[in-house]
Amino acid sequence: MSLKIPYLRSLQYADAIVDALLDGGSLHLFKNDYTPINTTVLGDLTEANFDGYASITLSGWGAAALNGDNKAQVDHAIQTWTKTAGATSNTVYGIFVKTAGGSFLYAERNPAGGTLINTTGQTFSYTPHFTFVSEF
Amino acid sequence: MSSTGFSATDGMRGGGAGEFDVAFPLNCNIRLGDSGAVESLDILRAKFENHYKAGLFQNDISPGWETTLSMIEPCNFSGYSGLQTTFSWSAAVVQGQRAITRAHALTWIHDGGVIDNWVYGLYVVDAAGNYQWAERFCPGPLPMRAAGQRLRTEPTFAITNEFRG
Repeated sequence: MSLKIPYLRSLQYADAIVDALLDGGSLHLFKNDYTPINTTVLGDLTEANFDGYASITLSGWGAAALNGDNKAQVDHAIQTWTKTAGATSNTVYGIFVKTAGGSFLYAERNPAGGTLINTTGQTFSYTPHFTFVSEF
Repeated sequence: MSSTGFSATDGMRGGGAGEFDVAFPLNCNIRLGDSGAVESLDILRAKFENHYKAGLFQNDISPGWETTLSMIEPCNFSGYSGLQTTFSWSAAVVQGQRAITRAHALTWIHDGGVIDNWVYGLYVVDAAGNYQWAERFCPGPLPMRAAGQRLRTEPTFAITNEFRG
């Protein structure tokens, strides 16, 4: 039958993942028109390189708490990239996260589709959340 | 003598959704990569190894998300050795769309004494005795009623993407 992990117990598993993998990990943007799947690897993603772009180190994740769906959720403050002056523009399709050790952890496509970043001062923002819940 | 095997095949889903853009928040779906699932599971199995203990329960319950240890009635059939420490959790590997780890098999044997049980499932606690998870056997319940009857289970835990495909 199905293994059941209580809601509250899932919090400690989420915190363990955050401490070991997400805290000190890095947030990146990708610029190729790609929809991530479970077999996605870093080589499938082309990192953005518009003027002013740099990956962002993720530290300061909050403690896991149950969200409205009773999932253990960890949140991070919003992160923003700003285009600086220069000739390199990108269409950004989503984000990906590497662990603190530099390996690929997950990716997410922007449901709004590609966003052209081509104007000095233009910003692109993303608020990281991650959830963990019993499979069944 | 009868022998019964049982292996769990599931565990947790990781994923959720971040938010793109402040003014117009949109949630998509995080896709946890296979390598990320493996790495995440290896973090958890390190917590399990030689710390988490498994036991059998004899009451007719279906464990859920709000199950607590007090709802579990441990077995007491003759020869039941109680909680056993789980060990030799394997390095996480991808099977299908899950990262999975298995511990060394655990076995309980009825010694022929007068106490018999029907066994409904397996439960797991951490080293401090805090309830972690439980699983009802299917098919079940399983009999532990006569000398030499044994129940063998291989604790298994998996992480999969919240969103498949």
